[in-house]
Amino acid sequence: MRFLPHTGSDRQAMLDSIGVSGMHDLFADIPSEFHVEKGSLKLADALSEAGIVRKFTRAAEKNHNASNSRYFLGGGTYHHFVPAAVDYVISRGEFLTAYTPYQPEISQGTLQALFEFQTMIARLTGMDVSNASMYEAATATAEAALMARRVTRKSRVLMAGSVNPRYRAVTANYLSRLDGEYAEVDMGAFGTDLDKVIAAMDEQTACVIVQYPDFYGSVYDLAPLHAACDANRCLMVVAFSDISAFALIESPGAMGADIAVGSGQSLGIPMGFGGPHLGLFTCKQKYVRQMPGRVCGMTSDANGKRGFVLTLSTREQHIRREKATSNICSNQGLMCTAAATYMTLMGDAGLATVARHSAAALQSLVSQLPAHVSAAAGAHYNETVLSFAGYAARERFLLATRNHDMFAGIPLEQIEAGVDTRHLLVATTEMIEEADITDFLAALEVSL
Amino acid sequence: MTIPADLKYTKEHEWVRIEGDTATFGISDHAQEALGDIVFVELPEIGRTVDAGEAYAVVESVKAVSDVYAPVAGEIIEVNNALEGESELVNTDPYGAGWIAKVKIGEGSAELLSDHEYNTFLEE
Repeated sequence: MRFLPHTGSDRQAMLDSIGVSGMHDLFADIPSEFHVEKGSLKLADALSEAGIVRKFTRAAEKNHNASNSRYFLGGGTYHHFVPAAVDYVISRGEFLTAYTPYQPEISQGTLQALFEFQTMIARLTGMDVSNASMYEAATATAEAALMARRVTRKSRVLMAGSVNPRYRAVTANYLSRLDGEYAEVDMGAFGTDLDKVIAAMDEQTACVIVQYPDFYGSVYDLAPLHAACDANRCLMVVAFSDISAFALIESPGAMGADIAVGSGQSLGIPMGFGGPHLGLFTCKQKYVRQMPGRVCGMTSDANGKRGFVLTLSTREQHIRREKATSNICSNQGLMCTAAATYMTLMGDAGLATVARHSAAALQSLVSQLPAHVSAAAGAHYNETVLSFAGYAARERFLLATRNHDMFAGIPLEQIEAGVDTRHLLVATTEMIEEADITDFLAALEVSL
Repeated sequence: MTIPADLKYTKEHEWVRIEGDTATFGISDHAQEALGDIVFVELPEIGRTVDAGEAYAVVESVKAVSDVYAPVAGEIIEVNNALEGESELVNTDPYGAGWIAKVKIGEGSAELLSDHEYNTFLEE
């Protein structure tokens, strides 16, 4: 049976009601040359299914993507290897749901996977507790700002200018509907001077948000900032983009973060044109009741057997109503399971290998740069900013790399409005081999 | 259900014991009974100033989560840290070991009821 919601006379009644004579009038704003009249398209005859597959396979083979080229793009999404077993595990019928299960009696497997996910994320970030995920890093950052306001009962939020512009924009948007000041600290071009952030802090500041490694890949000691935060009774929120970093460098928790939020996409989740991502949210134990989102807990049933349940639900909307810690009442269950599977497969040693290779590739690239291209100063993990003599030099290089199956970097102005058009944000992962770096460096010759 | 005569009460079912310039806060026997088993009490920070009628603590039971409002304004000078491990004290001894916080009394007070008035209020 066809689904016919409106009859011809229904439509006519609606058209009469808004005072137009026919459907055609509804499209009057679109220039007539863009109107397609029925039967005016000169389409070829229909193809067979096999013919269509052949045609589109040929067309798709012309696409350049991360898997058939050398890929140096980061900026919040990273091209790490995803073992085939991850997809196999999350595709199983027992796990294949995007929803967090409410009924522990039928969902022990999923709940246990989420609990293990939380445990592993807490260990990797060095934090006490993790929730069972947010959607992505930008909204997780905004939620961290809201949580810091609840914990401190203060309203001012201070954001370092070296945080990913998208995390900043989403946080600013969330806070724009609330009382209280939101301020960003201008760090200068790829600046890492945290004293600027410390100077902007005051007694009204609920939290300071920094990214580590920052948007430009810089790594620096957060201890002085942490001390200043404590002196102002203000929380230190640490955002991150590529969590693989913490298998190698000091974790946010070890640096004294009160809340650490970021992306878990690096943990076995394909880039997928930007989604679905996985947002991570962790904090100190003493703040757990102000944390947003789902939390899985381990308990025992009436017979004393171990079991897993959703816990601390009294923070959440369906119980606490308008006083809930957050509007978020769902999570990325399937992506959590993917991340848990990935971390389990890799283990401590595997993650450390990924991190070492990712960092070593950047180190190798930067150490061999010709004199006419400079890299941002200071320590970096797997991402940095390369600066060219000018826009034209950078574009010559980008064209040369495109012709050699290489995505060499993100023109910084595409993500960060207003910066010079001669910078390139370049990221490396374990997918970059020494030969790729050699080719990258060779292509730089055209930018002289 | 008990309603001690030496305390004052609010219509939100809190009690207050006023001694000199100090006031001790808790929730009434009726409140703890209505809430059921208390599993967590979120205590205020020492030094925080609360207005009369402002939520200064949160009591979480197996049934519900409720804000607890200050009967009189003041500065929090002491909290009952025993509740962090033994929140059930609010159930077993609401007027004694189950107290929640002490304040140095400031300006302002919610409508305070005597034991008789509170009893009448409960019966209505």
